[in-house]
Amino acid sequence: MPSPAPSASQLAAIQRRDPDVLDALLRDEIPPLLRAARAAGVPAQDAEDVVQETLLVFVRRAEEFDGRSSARAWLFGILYRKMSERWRSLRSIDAIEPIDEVHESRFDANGRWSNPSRLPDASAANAQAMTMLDHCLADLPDRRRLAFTLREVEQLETDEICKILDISANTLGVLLFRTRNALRECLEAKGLKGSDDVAV
Amino acid sequence: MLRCKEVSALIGSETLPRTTRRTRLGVWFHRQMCQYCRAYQRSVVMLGTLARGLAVKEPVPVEVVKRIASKVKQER
Repeated sequence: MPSPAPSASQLAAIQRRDPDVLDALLRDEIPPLLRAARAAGVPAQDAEDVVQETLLVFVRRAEEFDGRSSARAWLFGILYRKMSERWRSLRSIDAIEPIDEVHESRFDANGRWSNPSRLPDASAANAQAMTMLDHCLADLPDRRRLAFTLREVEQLETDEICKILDISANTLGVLLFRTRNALRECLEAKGLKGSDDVAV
Repeated sequence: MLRCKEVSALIGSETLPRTTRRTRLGVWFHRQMCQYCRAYQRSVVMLGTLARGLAVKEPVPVEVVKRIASKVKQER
């Protein structure tokens, strides 16, 4: 799913707004943009509207696209700015969240695991586990869900996500760490567990 | 010596590549010895696999893509 930076000929075609190139590019980018908008907590109908606005901004500003990042990363940047204009909750980040204490409680005073994770590995990624994850994702704050989606589903690089969300790499690290811990706790609470005998 | 709490934070936040070579080496050695931190790392990978699987399992409907593409074409 990662989207590479465009070739020189693609870049030139985008900048001169070649209709065929733009049609194909925009059509390909609609699903990831919609996924990101939904991940950010935007209702379905509004998500379609905001994606449409994003694509129109891209077309109007196509000559400014310099190709240093992928078109997808540039589109995500426009989308995020559009969303955060309307949905202020996307901008907030709390200094401390309950999940930090929950994760902390899994270690002893010496920083060793006292209650280690028992989640299975990726081989256990079945439909039931995906449904559980879907429910767990729904409970996350919008901004964290969006950061996790950009990283794990769209597989954008750290510096691209930082640019899109206008945050530092350290802040992104905190968002991803909290999100993963919250999802692990949630999946375990829903009964998704691997073998008690952790494989070495 | 790095502790599990620090190693899991470095893994879960993906900040390991930006640390010193000494820290990266420390994490590598720690993981060789600690089955729980290895399990933690596998769970991080598993979450990504599940999330990508979910996106494939529930794709954006083709008609929605067509509708948006057509509106953009009209307005541009």
